[in-house]
Amino acid sequence: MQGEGAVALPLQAVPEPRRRRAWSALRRQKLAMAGVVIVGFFLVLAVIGPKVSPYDPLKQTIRERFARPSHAHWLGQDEFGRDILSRLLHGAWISFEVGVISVALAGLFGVVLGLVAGYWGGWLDTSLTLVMDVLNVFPSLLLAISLVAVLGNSLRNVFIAIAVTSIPAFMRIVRGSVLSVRQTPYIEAATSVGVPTGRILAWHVFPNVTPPLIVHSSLTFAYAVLAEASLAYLGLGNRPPAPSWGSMLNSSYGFLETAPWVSIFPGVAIAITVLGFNLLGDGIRDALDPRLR
Amino acid sequence: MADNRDTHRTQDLTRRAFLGGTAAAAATAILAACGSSSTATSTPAPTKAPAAAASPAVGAASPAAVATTAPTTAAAATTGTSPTTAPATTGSTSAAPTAAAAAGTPKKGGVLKMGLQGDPVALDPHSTSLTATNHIVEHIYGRLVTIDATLSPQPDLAQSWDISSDGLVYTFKLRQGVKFHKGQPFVAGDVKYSYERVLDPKTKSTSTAGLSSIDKIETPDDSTVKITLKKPNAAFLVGLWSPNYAIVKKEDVDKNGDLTKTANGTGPFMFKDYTPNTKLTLVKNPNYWDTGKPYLDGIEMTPVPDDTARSTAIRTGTVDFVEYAPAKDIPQLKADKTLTIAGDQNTNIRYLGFNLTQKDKPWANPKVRQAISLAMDRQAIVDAAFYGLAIPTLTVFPPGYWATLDTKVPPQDIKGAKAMLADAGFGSGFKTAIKTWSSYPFLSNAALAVQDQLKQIGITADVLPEDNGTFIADNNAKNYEMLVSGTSGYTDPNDIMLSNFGTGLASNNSGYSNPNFDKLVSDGVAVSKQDDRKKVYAQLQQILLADNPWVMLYVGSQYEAMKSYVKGYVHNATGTNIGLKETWLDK
Repeated sequence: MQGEGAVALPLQAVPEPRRRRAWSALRRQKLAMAGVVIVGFFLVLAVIGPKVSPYDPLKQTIRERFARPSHAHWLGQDEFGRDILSRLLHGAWISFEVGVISVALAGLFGVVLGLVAGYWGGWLDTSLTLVMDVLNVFPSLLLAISLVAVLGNSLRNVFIAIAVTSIPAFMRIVRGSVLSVRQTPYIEAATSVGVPTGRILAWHVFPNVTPPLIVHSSLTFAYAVLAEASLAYLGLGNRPPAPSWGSMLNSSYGFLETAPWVSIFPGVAIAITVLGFNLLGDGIRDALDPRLR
Repeated sequence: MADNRDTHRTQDLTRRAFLGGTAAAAATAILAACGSSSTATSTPAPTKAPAAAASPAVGAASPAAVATTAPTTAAAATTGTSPTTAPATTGSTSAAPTAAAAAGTPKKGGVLKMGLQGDPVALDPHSTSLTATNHIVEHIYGRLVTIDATLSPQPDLAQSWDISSDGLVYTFKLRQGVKFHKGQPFVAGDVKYSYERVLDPKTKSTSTAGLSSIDKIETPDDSTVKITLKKPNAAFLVGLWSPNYAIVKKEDVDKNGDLTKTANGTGPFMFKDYTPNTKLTLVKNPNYWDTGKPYLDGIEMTPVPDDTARSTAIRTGTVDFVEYAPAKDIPQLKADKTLTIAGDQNTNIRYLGFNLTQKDKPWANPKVRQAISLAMDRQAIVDAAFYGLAIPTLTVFPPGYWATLDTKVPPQDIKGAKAMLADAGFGSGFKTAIKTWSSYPFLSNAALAVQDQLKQIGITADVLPEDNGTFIADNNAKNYEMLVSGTSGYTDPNDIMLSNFGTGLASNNSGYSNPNFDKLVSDGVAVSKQDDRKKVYAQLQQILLADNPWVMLYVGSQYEAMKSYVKGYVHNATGTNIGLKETWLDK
């Protein structure tokens, strides 16, 4: 095999595009593919779910409360007689919304702060890192709870809370990559020919940090879904009767013994979605990691 | 090498799969764990004014009647998920306190492990009227009178009393030889001091209503207390049973500043220690005046605020007794042969209230409130909020109570409601917000059902569940549009009428004001014959039905669950646990 490699070397002078290489590496991992399928399924559900949901997720039919899963209501009905399937489908959109918005917010701030801190260094780096370290001291869910409590109970503040607690990790990842890239000759070259700093950061530094960013975004998405569910479970963020998975779990866990379907389905939905994003993130990391190739 | 790599990957994937699985499992576990802490609350029920009172004539006040209505109504109303209140329980609640006690010869000894619904937080009986606190101090402090299962006043620290013919002067003969737990003798001066402490604005008592009719308190000798009222008040005497009118010793207050962290009373149990949110221990008062009682050596109380956790605690035997056995689990608890369930319908009224101080809002118009009342499907609300175990109601008093106006709860009338709303000029509906208690599912779930029913007549309401502190603050400051809340723990109709609807009172949360109503309220306590009072309260309820400052939703229920070796306990319709004094362990 090594012999073959030596022979083939000249032929690989033009390397396979990195993206395609990563995809084929990803495809070789069964669990990562499971992650891809789960995440894909989730995304489809989130986008089309609210449109195909069979019932109004808020419509109460109290006379049919705790009805078992049936032909008319595939996943049964909850304590207000609402259709659990419809609520799950609408809830998928809420989870998706939270994931996308908080990851985007955290990513944006994390990347900018990381680039700035890593490229300029000095007191700016020290103070930014210090602030992030302070944020990191608090367990992220606890911090999110406090933030929502302080900012007020609304979905927008849940986005903010989840984003804020995710910024430090993004910032550290970007800063680390920037530190190593900054020393490379091509950056030095760009600087010496007078390329503006902004363009160096955007065109020459940033592309180097995208692989870890993609991995981390996927993992943060999982965290965001879970954090939103946890906050909703605690009565923060989405107010009832909004069909957030976490609040569905919150209002139903007391009936685990008498009407298990009311709590099991949202619980399973959260678990599988979070698992899917974690598997995907792990898989991408391996696929992009040259040491594992 | 390729092999090596594959092996490495397999291991890696296994680790990852394991991590993933663990994370998913942990997710659910963390959520569940968080849930219990979030529901940690201290007030089991939004208690407003404490008990005020029933006259001696009210003696025959009627949990008996109250209780008998319960099973029938429940049976008619139930929709399958919730079995009816067992008649057996009803019987023991109402008619047969003695029968329950006579079920065997009480054995002495043993410590009762009890699961509380809320942590008491503070122990001063005068400055707090939280139910969670009342359920502790009621065992420690004696009051002049106590109540029996029929809610009539019975001698406690007062051995007997005499009421002047004009109904103004109450002369209490005090029990002799009673000692406080720390050994000081109980004298008339303690009564005077305690009542004056409640009425002293510095105490910041929220329970002054029951004593506010007092003109002066005299102590001719150590064993006599003479209380003169400003005007006759048929509700005065029985109201003195309230734990908030506990008889305390002045030197304890002087020494400690207040009674928040200490307790020295004359009651059946003595305060031993308290670790917030963890444990409160009471031990038997060996010198209790009612010789031979209590039977228990002590009570170990643990707050278990989460409903499901409390059910589990009693079923698994972690505790011997729980208060507020959750309605959602009553069917399973009743089916459990190792348990005895006491209780049924109580006096807790749950309502949809309006802020009537907002004159420019749609709900300032009585027609709008009437329309909302018509739009309510009260049975559906009971099913959603109380698992079918409560009674839908139109009026502030529970069915079967002597003062209750006979009404029939009509079915939901969406057409009539829409017509009335259109008539009031709001045919296209309006937007509003309903505040409610996040910690009481029987209220927040009711609010969600109300929200759904309002939507059917075009009213869009946001439901805003709030934690106890925020809700109480908003309620007191009238910082709300509508609210779903409750009131509980009264023993005389005057208490509900005066404190909730009397013009200008701080406890009147809707800001309702009707001079005609106010006049009738004072008439209601000025006459003493129950038949005469009944007529007055009927008129008052008619006025409320027309004005709807609150749209009444349902009358709650309350249960205690205990292991079957716990004997002698008698449920009380006001929700108090004073029955523990008679309780013994058959093991």
